[in-house]
Amino acid sequence: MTPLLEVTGLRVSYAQATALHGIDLQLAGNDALAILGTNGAGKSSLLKAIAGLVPSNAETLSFNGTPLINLPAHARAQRGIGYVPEGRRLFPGLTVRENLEAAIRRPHRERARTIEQTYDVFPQLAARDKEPAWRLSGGQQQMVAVGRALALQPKLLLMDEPTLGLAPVVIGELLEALQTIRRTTPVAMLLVEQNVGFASALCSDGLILRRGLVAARGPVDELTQGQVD
Amino acid sequence: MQNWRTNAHRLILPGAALALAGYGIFFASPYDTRILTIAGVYALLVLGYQFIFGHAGALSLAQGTFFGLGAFVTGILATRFGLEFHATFPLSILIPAALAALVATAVLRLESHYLALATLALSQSVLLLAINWESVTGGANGLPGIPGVSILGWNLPRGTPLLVFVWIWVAIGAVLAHRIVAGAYGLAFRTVRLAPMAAAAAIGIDASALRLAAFVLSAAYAGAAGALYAHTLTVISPEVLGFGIMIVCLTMTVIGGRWSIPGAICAALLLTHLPEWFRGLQEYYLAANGVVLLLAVIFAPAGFLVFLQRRPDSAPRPPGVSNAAIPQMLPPKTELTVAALSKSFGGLRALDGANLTLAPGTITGLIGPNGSGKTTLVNLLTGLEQPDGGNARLGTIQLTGQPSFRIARAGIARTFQTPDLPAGVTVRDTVAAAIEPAHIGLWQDMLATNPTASLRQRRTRADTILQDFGLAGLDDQLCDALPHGRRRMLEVARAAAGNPAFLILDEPTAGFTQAETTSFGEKLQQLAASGCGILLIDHDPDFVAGISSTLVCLDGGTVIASGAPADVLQQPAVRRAYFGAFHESAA
Amino acid sequence: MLLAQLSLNALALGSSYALIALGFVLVLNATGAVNFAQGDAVMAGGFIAIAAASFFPEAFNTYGIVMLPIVLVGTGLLGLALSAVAYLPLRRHPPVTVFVSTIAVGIILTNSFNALFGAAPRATPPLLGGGQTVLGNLSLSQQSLAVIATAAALIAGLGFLLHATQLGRRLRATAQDPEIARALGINVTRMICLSFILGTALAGTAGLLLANQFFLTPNDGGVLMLKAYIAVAIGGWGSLRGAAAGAMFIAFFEVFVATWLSHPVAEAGLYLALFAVLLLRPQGLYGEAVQRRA
Repeated sequence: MTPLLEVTGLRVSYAQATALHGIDLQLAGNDALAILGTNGAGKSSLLKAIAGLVPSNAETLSFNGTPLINLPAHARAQRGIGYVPEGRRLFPGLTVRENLEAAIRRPHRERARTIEQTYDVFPQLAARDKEPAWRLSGGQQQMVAVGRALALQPKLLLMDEPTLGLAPVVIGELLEALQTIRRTTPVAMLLVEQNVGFASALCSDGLILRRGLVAARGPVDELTQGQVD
Repeated sequence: MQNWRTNAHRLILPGAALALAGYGIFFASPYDTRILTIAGVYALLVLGYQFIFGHAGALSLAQGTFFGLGAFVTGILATRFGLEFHATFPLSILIPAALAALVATAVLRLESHYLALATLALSQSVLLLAINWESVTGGANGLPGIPGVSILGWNLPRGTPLLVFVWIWVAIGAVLAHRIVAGAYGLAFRTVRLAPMAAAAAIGIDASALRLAAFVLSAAYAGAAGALYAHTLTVISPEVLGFGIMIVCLTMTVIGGRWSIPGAICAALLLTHLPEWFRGLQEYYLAANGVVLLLAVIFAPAGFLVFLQRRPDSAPRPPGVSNAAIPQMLPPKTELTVAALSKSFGGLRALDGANLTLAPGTITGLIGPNGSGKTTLVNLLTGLEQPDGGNARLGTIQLTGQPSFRIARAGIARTFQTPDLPAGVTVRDTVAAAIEPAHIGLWQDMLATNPTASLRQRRTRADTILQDFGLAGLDDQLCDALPHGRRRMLEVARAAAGNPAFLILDEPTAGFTQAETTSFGEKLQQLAASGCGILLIDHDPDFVAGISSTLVCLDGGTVIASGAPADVLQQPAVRRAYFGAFHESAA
Repeated sequence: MLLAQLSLNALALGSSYALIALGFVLVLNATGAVNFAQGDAVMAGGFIAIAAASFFPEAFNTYGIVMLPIVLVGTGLLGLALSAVAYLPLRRHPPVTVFVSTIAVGIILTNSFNALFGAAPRATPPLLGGGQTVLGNLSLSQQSLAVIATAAALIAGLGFLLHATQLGRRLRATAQDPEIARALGINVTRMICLSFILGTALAGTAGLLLANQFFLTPNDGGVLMLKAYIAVAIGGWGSLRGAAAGAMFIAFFEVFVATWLSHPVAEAGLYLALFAVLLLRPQGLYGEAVQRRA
């Protein structure tokens, strides 16, 4: 069976630096893979390259059987790649509901149903439906960011450091919600995380990036025994 | 190729100039003479505009206004007070320059289109004044009967003599402009324009002084051009203050290249003659100007006449590169003290009373999770942001509250997470700009016997520094052509060129390979051994701990641990902050 | 009495200015670039109406309202062309480059109008009629009332589009964070073109509304663009509501100062106001409607 996401020889170069020197990775539908490594290892660049937000080249970059390399970011999103950016990046002046609605690509009536589903996963958000996004706490913003990406009904969810700047209690809530999503929704996940505890709780497998290359791949618990620190 | 171009350029320009001069003086009809005279006026105007729009990189829309002002000063003084050229001309230069200096404080700290619109409002105000102050300006009818040039009772005839006279001023303006931008002062302009953050915080160039000088110079040139225009036309109306002249000036500058002196002159000649050559276009002449401007912006942002422009840094390799006679100035042995430094952004306390002391000649490592306040600390130390509380001192010098460039001159240099290097400038000149920035000035270069001599000296010293940092042989490459690792090294070399007491490096090894990281670390240790204190921020704890003598860990904006690297890394608080709460419980 | 008349005039002028300023902010928010050709888009609207009037049978060409759809479509297309030649090729360049390119388009428009229509002032027909409506002892200009109603309808329509439709949400999302909008499947290029179309069409309508009472010459674009900018600067950079409020402020200032002192004094006062804003709030020009939170 072909994997959902297949990447070989992925390179990303910015004007001044090469962030990725040739990455290979495969991800099956429903799989969750953690990407670990220190800052500057190229983790965010990997997600952005898959989402189409930075120019990249690769021998293979295919999603669900379609080559992605020449598709613009919005076309990749429409084919089922949801992206949760580092630092949440909600549309600050839009309300919580509008943030979710903006991402939904379905007729008016079904939009309301998708939002109901999101509020089922993140009950806290229902009460803040009409509030502008910038007024939410960090944890709630992160929930909107995840919900917004899920509103696309993606087959693959890319998450860039969702725990960054969140209190431990909130991280726990977020983890629970994401585990629920893993159980109930057919979606694969690629999770960039420095918090290895969080990563191992959500993903069984992981890979370690070091200076733009895959340094190791395997079960998260084994990887983190001595590699990250 | 390069040679051919340089040689051709050397022959073509003087040849064409000579031919044109011969034609203008001996063969031109009175009408052609007039057009050529006006071309000279525009050339002077554009040469001036290059200071603010080209060298300072600020889109001022007041150049036409300074021009009109110069024309009106000459017109009013000559027709109403009967003053002669030797009195009206200096005043036509001084008054626009004074107006520029007056509004500069309000206008020049604005960026891009804010500046453009503020200068546009200025020109509209002046235009309004000229139309409505009829008793002085003649209102919408204008001022007729402006006499020709007369100096101490001697009248310069119109026609060819006036043509020659105007072009003499163009020549003077061009020579002056060349002297101003050909040396170290011009290099300072390039550095500020292309790497503004580094210019202030890594080198110590006073960018606002440069912008002010450029604005006043551009107004002075415009005033001179306006005065000559009034003498040529003999009648002026508020139209000289309108947007039309500004449009022509902008188009000429974009087409001729924003930094090229021959380009400015050629564009002025070309665009004043275009309507003559394309008479069919007459009604649409200005519209065609717009089309040309649009095409130039899209397809040739450096100007259509860019081939006339000498590559700014293609100067021959300075002779006699020697390692001797370079005074090794030892930085002062003082501590850098940070006391209770705090900074909030909105509701977030990015830095919450950080205390820190850096010893001279040692490497201090600074680690901490994302958002712990590391970069905020660096920005506060180097004056890019102002703290809410606390202070930083270098020995007895108070750093807090000083502008960035003064802190850099006091001896604190830095690098950036994303290297801030001037694209299109050579490696050698990047470093040359950082040598003794306090000694670079307008008057030094304008009055020097040879303005490029001091630049050549700087280049020689830059070569030595580059050699020291393992960048020898790359001197003539452009910054943006360097591979990433070299760029980082160049940034450090530039910061070190000013002999700083302390060097602050913000994640210098991001994007490095393991081998690059190792050799970079060795270089830092050498630097520290030579007396320069280093504050090193990095995410690779092994690397930082390996070369630092002190390790400091920031979390939540405060210092949570500080001491010998091995001890600091073992502290539970550090492990929790740096490797995450979950890791602690999982491990 | 006089006060009521003047207020009505100012309200009509202000609603036209508001259309220009709103269009300006739409493009500013979508692209981060200042559209210098916004004033010339106003002229384009006026001249399209004048040109169209000559093609209509006489029974209709005394009603400006008939020209409104033509002006909307014509200047909308102009906005599309503007985005195609002056913005899209330059989107990776610094914003000031777009400023120069829109100056270039402005020059082309101004001088083409000059060549086509001449520099003499021209007027468009009144929207419905040039008469007066008597209300008690007040005599109100029907044109002013119609201008206010038309502008109000367009502004309400814009508000509906932005806040109650999926397209509007996407326009706003694009304006607030284009990169993330792309990542969420929004075609950002299309949204930017649409912003230019809307922004230019609003300005064009203002041209139709203004040109009856004030007459237009091809060279008025720069001043109108400057007024839109001042309105936006006063109202908080980037805020739609602020831009409309700023436009009203300018119109009232202009009408009342011009009546009591003189028109040049009113105009000079506006420029001084701009300098004051720039001096006192050099950073505060950015809209404060949205704040950051940790």
